[in-house]
Amino acid sequence: MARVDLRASKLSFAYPDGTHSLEGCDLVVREREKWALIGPNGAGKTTLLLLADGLLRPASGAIEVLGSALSNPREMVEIRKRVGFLFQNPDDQLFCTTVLEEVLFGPLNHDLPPEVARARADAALRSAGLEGYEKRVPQHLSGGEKRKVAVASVLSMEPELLLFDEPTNDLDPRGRVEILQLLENMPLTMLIATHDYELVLRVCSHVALMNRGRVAASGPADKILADKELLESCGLVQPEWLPYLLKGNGAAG
Amino acid sequence: MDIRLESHSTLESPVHRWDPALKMVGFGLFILALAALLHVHAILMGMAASILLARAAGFSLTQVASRVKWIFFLLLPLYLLLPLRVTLGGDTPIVVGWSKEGLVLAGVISLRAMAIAVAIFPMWGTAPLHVSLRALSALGVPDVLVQLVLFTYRYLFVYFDQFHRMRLALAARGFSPGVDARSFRVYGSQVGMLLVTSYEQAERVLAAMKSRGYDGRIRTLETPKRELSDWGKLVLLAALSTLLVIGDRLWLG
Repeated sequence: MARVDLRASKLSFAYPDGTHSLEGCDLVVREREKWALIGPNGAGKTTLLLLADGLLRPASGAIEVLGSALSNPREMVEIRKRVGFLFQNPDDQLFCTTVLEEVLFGPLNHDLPPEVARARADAALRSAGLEGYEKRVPQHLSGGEKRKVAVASVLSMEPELLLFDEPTNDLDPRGRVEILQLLENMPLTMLIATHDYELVLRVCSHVALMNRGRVAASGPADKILADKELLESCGLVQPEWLPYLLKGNGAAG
Repeated sequence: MDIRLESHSTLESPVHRWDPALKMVGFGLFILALAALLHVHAILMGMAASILLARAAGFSLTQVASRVKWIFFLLLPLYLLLPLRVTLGGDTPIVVGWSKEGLVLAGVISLRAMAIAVAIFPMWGTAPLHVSLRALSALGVPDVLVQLVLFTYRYLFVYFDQFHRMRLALAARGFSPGVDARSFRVYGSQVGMLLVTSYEQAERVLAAMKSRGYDGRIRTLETPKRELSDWGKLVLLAALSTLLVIGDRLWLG
């Protein structure tokens, strides 16, 4: 059986204002699996991703990422070297003066020799289709280009687990297609929080349906998305076109 | 208003080629000398030297003037406050008048501030911010201070972006700025929301940096190599700074 890359057990978290974002959340993600986290706003999707990157500390329960229990601050810092996080808004993520600096930021923080860091940055820029963008100013790029720079800045760290928070949010159709292709072709373990059902069907093998801070249902992506009643019970709406897409995929009818 | 200091960092000039750490020391001395000048003639000479240095670094007079004018506007209240003379006592309890000395003092202070502001362009604008900050670290400036500069600079853009978006949103709903009570209430709410939303975004920016391994140290690809010419430039600028101060004290007073 494949290695477990992420295991959340009875995970709970509350923000300082008292909002309970996660309450007893359980999830297991194995190596090379691509999981979608779907659910209404406030279901706890982003919080789960932040916990998995060691950016938040659970109030109770346990989270194990790539074999590390994330039980102390040192482990929480160390895990970030092996996990890549794409934030929902690229403007939160991009802050360097040039695209190259942005993509180098992670590898240099991991104290890699300059030539290795540069080679990784070049490879990540190539993967993201950003060759020739090295000297461009990230803040002046289009939404789709910014998102690709953000992806490249994560890929340059050569992560073993990728966490994406709504990667197709606010993108124009072309930018969205480019990001979908990029995600489809990445042979890595992924956890993607999204409202984009097409992304789920194209990229993800599994879905965790979240509601009120816990995983209400999980399983193969087409099976979960085909269950209209289940989606509605968790505050989601099955788009009218989805059954046709699922039929095309040979799933539910 | 363009507040980016680094917009000229990719140009080529003797100042750009200067080792960043020695450049910081050289300009630090020069700015200290400017701050120590007391007499108008010496300050005018200091201003001329600042402008020459900015020109040598590739900044046009228009660019310098367009940014330094804001310093002048900020200092305008001095021209009202410093010449104000209030005398207590005598037959009339309070006598309000104007003094020429106060006006001259306001002129000296604002001229000196603008000369320093002009010197900041070649000092900070001729290398990417992270390179300048790493130079400060190499000079022994505590990491806390270096981070303070980094975040202050980065968050300025966050504030400006938020402010710009809010202004558009207000205009879209028909708000026209005025000097009445309602406008001031709107300004108050705007500033309050600006602080709240910017704080939240700043937190997200920090989380995104941490997720890519940021631990408070600035790392760059370039390894600084100091050459004789770098030391020569330092000696020249230190000599200029010393001459300005000696001239101010001995001859130009």
